[in-house]
Amino acid sequence: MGRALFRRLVWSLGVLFGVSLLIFVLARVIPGDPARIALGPMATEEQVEALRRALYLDRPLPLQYVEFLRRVVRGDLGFSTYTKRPVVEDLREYLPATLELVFVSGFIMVALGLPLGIVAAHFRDRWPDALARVLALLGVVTPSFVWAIFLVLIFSYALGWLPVMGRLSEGLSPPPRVTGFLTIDAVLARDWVVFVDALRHLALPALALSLSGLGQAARLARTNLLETFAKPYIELARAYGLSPFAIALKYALRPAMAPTLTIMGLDFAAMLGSAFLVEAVFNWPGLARYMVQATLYKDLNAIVGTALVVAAFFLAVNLLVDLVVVWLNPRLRIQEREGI
Amino acid sequence: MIAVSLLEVKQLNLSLRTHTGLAHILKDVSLRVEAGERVALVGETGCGKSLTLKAILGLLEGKGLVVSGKVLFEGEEILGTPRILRLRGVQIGFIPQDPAASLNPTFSIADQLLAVVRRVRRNLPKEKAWALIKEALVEVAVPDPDRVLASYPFQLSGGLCQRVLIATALVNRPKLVLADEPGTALDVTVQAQTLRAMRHLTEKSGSSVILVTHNLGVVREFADRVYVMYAGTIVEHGPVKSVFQTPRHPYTRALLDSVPRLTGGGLPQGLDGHIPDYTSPPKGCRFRPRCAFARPECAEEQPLRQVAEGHEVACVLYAEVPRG
Ligand SMILES: Nc1ncnc2c1ncn2[C@@H]1O[C@H](COP(=O)(O)OP(=O)(O)OP(=O)(O)O)[C@@H](O)[C@H]1O
Ligand SMILES: [Mg+2]
Repeated sequence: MGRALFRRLVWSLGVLFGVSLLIFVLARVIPGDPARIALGPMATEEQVEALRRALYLDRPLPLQYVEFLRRVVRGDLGFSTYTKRPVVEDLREYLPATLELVFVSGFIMVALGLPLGIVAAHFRDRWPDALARVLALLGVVTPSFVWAIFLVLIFSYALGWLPVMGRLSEGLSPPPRVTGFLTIDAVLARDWVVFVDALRHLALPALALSLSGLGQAARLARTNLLETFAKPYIELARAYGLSPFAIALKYALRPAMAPTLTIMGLDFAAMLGSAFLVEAVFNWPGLARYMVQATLYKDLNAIVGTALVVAAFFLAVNLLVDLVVVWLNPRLRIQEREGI
Repeated sequence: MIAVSLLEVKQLNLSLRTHTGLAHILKDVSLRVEAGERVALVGETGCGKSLTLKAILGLLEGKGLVVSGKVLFEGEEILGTPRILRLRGVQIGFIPQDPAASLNPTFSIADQLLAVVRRVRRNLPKEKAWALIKEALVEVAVPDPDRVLASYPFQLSGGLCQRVLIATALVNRPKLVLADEPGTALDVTVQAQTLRAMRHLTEKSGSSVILVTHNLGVVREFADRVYVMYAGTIVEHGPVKSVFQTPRHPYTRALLDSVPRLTGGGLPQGLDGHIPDYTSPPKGCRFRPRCAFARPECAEEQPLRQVAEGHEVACVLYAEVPRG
């Protein structure tokens, strides 16, 4: 397993390297002078020139990239010309908000999507199945920002149950920062008021973000389960008198899970992308806003830094899913062990 | 007091909804297995042998299925009752037809065997349970049982999968074993070995067996009595000796004429045509369209007639031999 993991890690780093190169070049070929945009029309030519030098923009592109790489390995993503702070610091501030949203969405996707699919498969072609399938399809075909707007209209404006804006109600002070996840930090600080408030703020955006993945998860779980239910080994499990419960949740679920998980992992990773639109609707102080500003200001370091983080997240999720799939599938596990 | 049979199937009828219509597959299938008895069920492919076993186990419930008749286990009805759920894997062992596809690819052999052991001995300590399943594999002549237990099905040959399935069916010492062509996946010598092991084990525990097979050689060697099935009907049954020495039904005779020289299976030689379409089977004797002796009366229902002690045949050619 170790060797396979190592191979995958190296491969992921390679991909990350490729992504960085691509984004690095792309960000620089968009028209506009970053230094001039950053300093505004009032700045003198000398000031602009100084900033260009500070950003290494006066060097040839390959040298700029080498310089960039040299800094990246030291964990330095450069200065943001928009916030005037190191990009790493900006990320530390905005990334946890987005990650918290995405993780809660991922949790909702798994916690509701899989059971929905299991129920649908269990009641195949009866009304619970029909209902689950309609719900799942609705989730898949409706973009998450549309859900976001719907949910806000229903649960905030019409019913007034849940808040719409930001991560925390006004008047509440955030708990001491440990992880940057408000819920976790609140638990660590034993501040239950903040914890509940943070959850209430998370509810709608996380649900909106999760619904398409949730629908997809339910559909996949249903299809793969039904396919597995038709297998001779499931009939044999019944012939052995194993309980229907054990058959559905153990002997059928495990073989059905691997193909389901692979796609769910992709859906989860893609949530980071959709999160940007959902963040906009809920005024969520996450990476989305930062990324939009960075692009508008042609904030080169911020653009490249954010893109790298998003790509790294995507790769990490995929790596994790691959590992889980291998763990679930003995055939792959054995191949890995034997290093085939 | 009349002794009850271990298993009695009475007038079992089974139809399945297919896309071409309702397929009337099993028609008035009756059979009986006494305690400790080994019974064979033979017939060409598609004649409903596997469905008969699955119907006994109650595995066929679901949409589009029409079943009628009785299945009595030790005198008690099990067809469509929850009682069958308690018998499965405990009192009735099942050996499926396709060994390679019948083991779950995501669980180790030990896991799958243990699940069945735990049907009976829920709280058996782990080491004892392990010893038990290991012994079960040794009994069916599995070399290197520890390796096999730790393996996954796709790491094993078809023959080993087959033996694992036999061991699983026997591990709880059931009163009845339903074996669907065990050994088809094995080469001839291993097949003989496996069957001998199965015979030995069931004899030791006094278990009864219904053995489905294509191979008449196996029937002769293994079974006490034989049921000959054609297109979902029992056309003849009786003690193996009697049926083999004086087969009556034209289908049985055709079957015996084509006694497989090697591995057996397949269509009886010199018998044209194939099994009828179950959605519109011939009335009366279902063998009629292929029978060289067919007469107009064959279109009427043919009850089983006793032609010798315990030997019955459903054919117009034979009159009931008076008893006594
Ligand atoms: N689930 C099903 N749906 C529709 N038809 C079925 C189904 N299962 C079996 N059949 C049909 O029922 C008939 C009997 O099938 P069965 O499997 O009992 O035959 P068999 O005697 O065991 O044959 P074989 O020797 O090939 O195993 C076949 O014609 C088959 O096509
Ligand atoms: Mg069969």
